Amino acid sequence: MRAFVLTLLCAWASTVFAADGGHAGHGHGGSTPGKQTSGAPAGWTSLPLLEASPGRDRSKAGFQLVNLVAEKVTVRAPGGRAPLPEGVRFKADRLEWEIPVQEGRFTLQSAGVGNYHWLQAREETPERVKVASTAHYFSNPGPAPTAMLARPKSELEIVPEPLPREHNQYRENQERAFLLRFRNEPLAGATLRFASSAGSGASFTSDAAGRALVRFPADVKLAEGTGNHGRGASNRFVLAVEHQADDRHYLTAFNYRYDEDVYARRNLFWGGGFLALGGLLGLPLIVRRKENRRA
Amino acid sequence: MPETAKPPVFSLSQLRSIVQLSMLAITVCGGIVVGHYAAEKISKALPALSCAYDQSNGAYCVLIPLQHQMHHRVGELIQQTGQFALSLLLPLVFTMLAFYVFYFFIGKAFCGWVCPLGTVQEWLYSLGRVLRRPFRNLSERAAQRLRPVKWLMLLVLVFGLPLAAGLGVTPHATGDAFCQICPSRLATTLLTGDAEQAAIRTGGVLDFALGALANTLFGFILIASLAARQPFCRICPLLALNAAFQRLSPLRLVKQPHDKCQKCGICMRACPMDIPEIWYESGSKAYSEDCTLCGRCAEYCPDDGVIQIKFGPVRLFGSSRDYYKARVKQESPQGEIKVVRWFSRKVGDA
Repeated sequence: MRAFVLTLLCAWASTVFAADGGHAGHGHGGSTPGKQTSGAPAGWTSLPLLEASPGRDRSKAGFQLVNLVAEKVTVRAPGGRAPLPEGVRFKADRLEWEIPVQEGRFTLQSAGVGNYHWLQAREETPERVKVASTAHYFSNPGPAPTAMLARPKSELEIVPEPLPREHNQYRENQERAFLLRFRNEPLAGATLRFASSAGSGASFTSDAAGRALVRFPADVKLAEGTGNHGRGASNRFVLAVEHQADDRHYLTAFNYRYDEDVYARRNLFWGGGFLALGGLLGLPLIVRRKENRRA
Repeated sequence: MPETAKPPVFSLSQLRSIVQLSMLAITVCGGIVVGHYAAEKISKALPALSCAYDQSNGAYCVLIPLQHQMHHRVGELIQQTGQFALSLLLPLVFTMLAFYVFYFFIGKAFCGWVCPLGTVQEWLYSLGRVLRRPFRNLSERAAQRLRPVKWLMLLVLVFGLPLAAGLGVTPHATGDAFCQICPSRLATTLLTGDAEQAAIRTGGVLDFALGALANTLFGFILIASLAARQPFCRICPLLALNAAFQRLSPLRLVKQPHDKCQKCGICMRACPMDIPEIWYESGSKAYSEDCTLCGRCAEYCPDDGVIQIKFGPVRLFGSSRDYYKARVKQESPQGEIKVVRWFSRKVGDA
């Protein structure tokens, strides 16, 4: 009986390689495996962006400014303390520095300490302030970005609460919180606009504590295979908030990416099936055998 | 007139249960308190199977950075530079130092007192007693034969395959080969209501195979734990890693030679790892590589001071005849819970 069940399960398992498991609701994209899906043209938004160039390097990353003109980009690395004086600073201990922008492009070098780096570019006139911000992850040791995120970095801010943890990402169909702040005070009742590179758009309103819950839309087109580090397809997104104060218009944007649904390449049915198989294999251990007593 | 033994006010097993419950809360959802990011965790080199796939955990298991470093820091760098330098092993050295900081004080008690998977298996076994499932244990021969498996798991899954993945010899999916089959990954994530890890990856043949193996192993352990004690602990690579360092921690098990041991053997019956050395041997030989320092052998030894748990020269717990008499009235050495007597029976009562 056990052999029959096992044979049946093996035959059942072999069908998975031809089955399209768990991909309901998604189309199959024709994009290059591992690269960001670009379902919309390069001008998929008019909001200011700091867009990362494709590719993966553990020590540096290239970026370009989109819809924003700035001469420099400010970078902040994780750490709760004020920058140390030059003489006592460790070689890699940089908490805040600036990178010049050339022809709209710049390269971020890892600080060597701390993983999440916060990038911010600013275009300012007497009437308006336009800020683009993003985060970039380097696989470095060092403090968490909690204190860095808590520090004010501009007048109007969008603060992820929290940034995705290491080896984790924002994902479609997930709800994530973002804090809206103006001059380090929560901004209640503000409209947070969302736009994705796949063409989706939405708006969310912050509550009394300045928090807005953003739901990422299910619009990531699956790529064939998986990319670098086993990652699937992803879309770029941008969040933007506007605020008027002191005869000045503030616009702040935060752009990042979100990946395909957690179950896009996973199947809970198969998982439960093999769990049950394991349980079946253990059943003989918990079944009492009837002892034949001879007179 | 024989004296009636007084029940222990608070047994070592009860203390251990409280510690296990606290540690389970910390390892499974401690991130709610300590923080979300890796740097905020209590440790990233904990000598217990506290899984990083659990998004709200409070500490990371040491096997995670070991695999990650073998894959990315050692293997990939060797592949890129074509050279091996001892400096490549520096991240591993720092990880082991962080591991040893905790291990020095708690030693192999991480297995018996802290590990969330060990706790889950114990609770399932207790449930099996309540459900009156049969008791299954390994024979001495089987227990001895199983010992090399955990070392093999450590060398191949934790060190070998991740290194090979970094070198480009094996697929990327083997970069954290042990994590892909570890039952604690499923146990701790399911305890937080996250079913993602229980869903098998269908993106590739190897991903699917590893997921199938992991889920099958987990399902087997869930059921087997109802009848057998600590089924996964016997092949756990972290037990092997802890065993490699067990002589370097002042926390240890000590057994004095005693004439009555040969005819007794209760300690082995009480041992959840079915370790024969606790019965046959004495001195340092009794402190086997499979020992998790749960202390049950000391609880159930019927002679004073024969089995002790010591931290350096300080005795933390030792066997006692009175303690044994009271303990065995509550629970058998194999873990069968006995009827609770609210009032002690006086000699001569009907």
